[in-house]
Amino acid sequence: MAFLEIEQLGMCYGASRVLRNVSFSVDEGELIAILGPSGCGKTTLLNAVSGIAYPSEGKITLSGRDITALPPEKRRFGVVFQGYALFPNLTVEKNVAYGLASWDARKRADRVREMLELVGLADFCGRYPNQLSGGQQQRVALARALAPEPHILLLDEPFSALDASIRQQLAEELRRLQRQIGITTIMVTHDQQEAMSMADRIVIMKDGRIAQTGTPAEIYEAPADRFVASFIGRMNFLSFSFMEGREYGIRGEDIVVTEATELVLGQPHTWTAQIMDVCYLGAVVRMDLLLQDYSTRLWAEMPASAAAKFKKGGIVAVHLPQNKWRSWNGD
Amino acid sequence: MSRPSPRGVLLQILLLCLLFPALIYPLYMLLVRSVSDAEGNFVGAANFLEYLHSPGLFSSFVHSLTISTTVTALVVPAAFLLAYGLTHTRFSGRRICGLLVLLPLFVPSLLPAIGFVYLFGAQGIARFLLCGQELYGPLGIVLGNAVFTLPHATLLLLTSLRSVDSRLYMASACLGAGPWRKFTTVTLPNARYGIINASFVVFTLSITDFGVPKVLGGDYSVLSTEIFSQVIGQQNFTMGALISLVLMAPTVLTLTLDAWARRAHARLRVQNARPVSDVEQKSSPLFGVVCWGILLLPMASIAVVVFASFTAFWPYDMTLVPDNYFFEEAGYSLSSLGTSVAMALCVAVFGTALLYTGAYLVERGQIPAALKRLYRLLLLLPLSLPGLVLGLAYIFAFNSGPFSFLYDSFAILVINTIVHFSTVAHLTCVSALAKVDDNYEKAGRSMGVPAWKTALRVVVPQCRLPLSDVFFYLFINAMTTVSSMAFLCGGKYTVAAISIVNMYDSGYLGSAAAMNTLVLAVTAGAGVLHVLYKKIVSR
Repeated sequence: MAFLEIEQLGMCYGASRVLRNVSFSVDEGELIAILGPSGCGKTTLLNAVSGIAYPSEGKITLSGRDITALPPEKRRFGVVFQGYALFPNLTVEKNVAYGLASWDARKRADRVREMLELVGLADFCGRYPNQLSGGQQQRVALARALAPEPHILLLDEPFSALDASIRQQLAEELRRLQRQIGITTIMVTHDQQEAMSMADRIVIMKDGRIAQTGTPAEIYEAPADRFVASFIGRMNFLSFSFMEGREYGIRGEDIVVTEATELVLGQPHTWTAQIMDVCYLGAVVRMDLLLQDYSTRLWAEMPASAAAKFKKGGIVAVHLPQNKWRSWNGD
Repeated sequence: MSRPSPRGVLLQILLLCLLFPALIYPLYMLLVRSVSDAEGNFVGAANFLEYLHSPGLFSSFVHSLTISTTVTALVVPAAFLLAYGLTHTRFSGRRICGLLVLLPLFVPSLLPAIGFVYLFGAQGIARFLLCGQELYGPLGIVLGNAVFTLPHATLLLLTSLRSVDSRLYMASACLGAGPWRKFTTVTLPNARYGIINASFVVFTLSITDFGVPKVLGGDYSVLSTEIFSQVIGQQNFTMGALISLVLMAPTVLTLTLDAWARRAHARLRVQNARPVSDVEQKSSPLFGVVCWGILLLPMASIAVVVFASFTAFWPYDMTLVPDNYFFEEAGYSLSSLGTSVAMALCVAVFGTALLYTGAYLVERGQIPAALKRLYRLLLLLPLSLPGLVLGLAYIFAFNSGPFSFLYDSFAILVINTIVHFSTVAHLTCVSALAKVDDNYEKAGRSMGVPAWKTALRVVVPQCRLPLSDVFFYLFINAMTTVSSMAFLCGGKYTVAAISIVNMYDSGYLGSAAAMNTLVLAVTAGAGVLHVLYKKIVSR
């Protein structure tokens, strides 16, 4: 039995169904990322889990107990909201102590200090939220959510309001903290890199449904459909159909680009192509290729050192090794 | 900052020049008169000392403070309950309730006052409810002021309660807070400035109002009626000028406090707040009862006037007849309504155009900062000027001297009313312009189009909705204002609101009710057009 079980969740706003048949489970201590483009229903799903929104169908169980109808006040789930929703009229200290109203004063003060030390903001207890930077606000929100010892931590786009430069650092910090406390966490994000780097497992959503659930590697290696294939990493879709009902694609880094010699071109799944553009990205180089049929365009990625000899406009051999093809059921 | 544009500077200077006879010169004359004797000789503080030593005069100051404090203490909690019910709960008829709250904004402040005469006056049908108390006096003024200030306070509190970020409620719920804790830690702190602001507005409105105490004051004099009786009754212009300054003191004080409170509250403003949504609204029949209960008195006081205007002789002969609408029988005519509509249209058209131009130059024009500061400062002044005071200042400025050609003209009514309501209209234009992207004029100029062309073709169309709000605001207020017209009407031109006062004074209560109903019909019609226009534009 999983720690948190979400079964057949469905939700309607008026006539539009924002969630349908959403089922997944979360194990204790796990970090799950719910990933999807904006408007896919991921925040609604998070609201249903936290109790803020009431699902029209389905069931949520926590350690075997049905909590579907439990209001948020009774759930003891810690939530970090998008934009943090810190109480602007309360100091950092009082924000963190907000969920500890029923604790006795001594324990409460200790817990607040412990939490602020945990996120490295012990010196900021007297400040107001508007006197903090975005990163500091996020850490206060985290401390506030963790203080009442919640069963589960829910994060709604925790990094979206932050500068790119500070994002990665805070993401690593959050991941370390989550492992250290061992708290079960569900994080909602639209950023696939964030999800890939942080999550134990990813739930990919599209149009209110789950498209695929799996570890980052599983999803990258074996995308369940065309949407997942293009949303996680980039995929070259191979238009020549080999088998009815299946679609094929290949990742850019799996394409082998070599000098066009007769020997190479004699091998299977090898074509000549013209280099339409070469884009230098630092560690890797991306190449836009036009196959000899003058209609198929591919992009390939390779280490900068391997690409040095290729120039824009040159003719090369492109090999698509069959063991690297990914396939999924076509629509 | 780039090079000032000569056209912009010229236009701004022109607007400032217009403000000279319309605002600065009258105020200067008011000040001069308050420190002069009847012959115009400078006497310094002598008038003020005389004022302090005449108990009859000073008592009106105490009365005004008492009345305004009472009204504030009654109206703000009621408005808070209303606003809370409308934003945070659901009950049957909530939408209609939200519309009816605004109804008193569409009528002159003396309409509900006349309603109270019908309800609780000598022949009032609900007189028994007062338990033998006299309507004419403090009770009547408090009731009348409460009714016409309620929508102002409710509107401010609605905005303030709606703007609370709904995520704060969610956060508070997820941290285990119950309804009461949510109210004290989220709702109240975020509405605090709204409450303070509403209190100041109610206090200022009721201390400066003239219509209600004129009708319901009886022998109980307040500052505004005292000014009027000094000037009109005793021809004591000096004392009128001096009491005007006294009346301005509390207004200036509350405005200063309000500015301070606004700054102190800035910390609570949340960027990209998500307003309270349906999710947070709990169904509550109790709040339904409370909200409808609060609305009962204003609705009754307005409805009774409309109904009574069609009766033959209230309350003895209740047959429905249109007789009250034949104003000629009472020695009056419908022309005052025509004057009002014409005046209100002129105020709305010219006021919107001038104030928008001014706001545009201040916000986006390339003109020296000193000019901008001066204009902003001058346009904040009218907010602290009670209508009666401004009217009196106009009398001093225009009955003789360089601008006397305006005396007793239609233009003076229009100018006075534009100036009287300019602050709110100006601020609305400013906030609308602040929402328009800064770079349009630059983008236009980079394509060789002069800034004023881009302003007309790109910026103005984007301000259509707020501009229609300003137009509507000016029109409604021009139709209903009593206080600023009290001194300026009486010669060639009389507006509807003043003819209502005159009808009431000479005992034609039915005619007064009928004229009130006509004003309400015009303003309500304008309201419907306004809503339709907004619907069409935003589609």
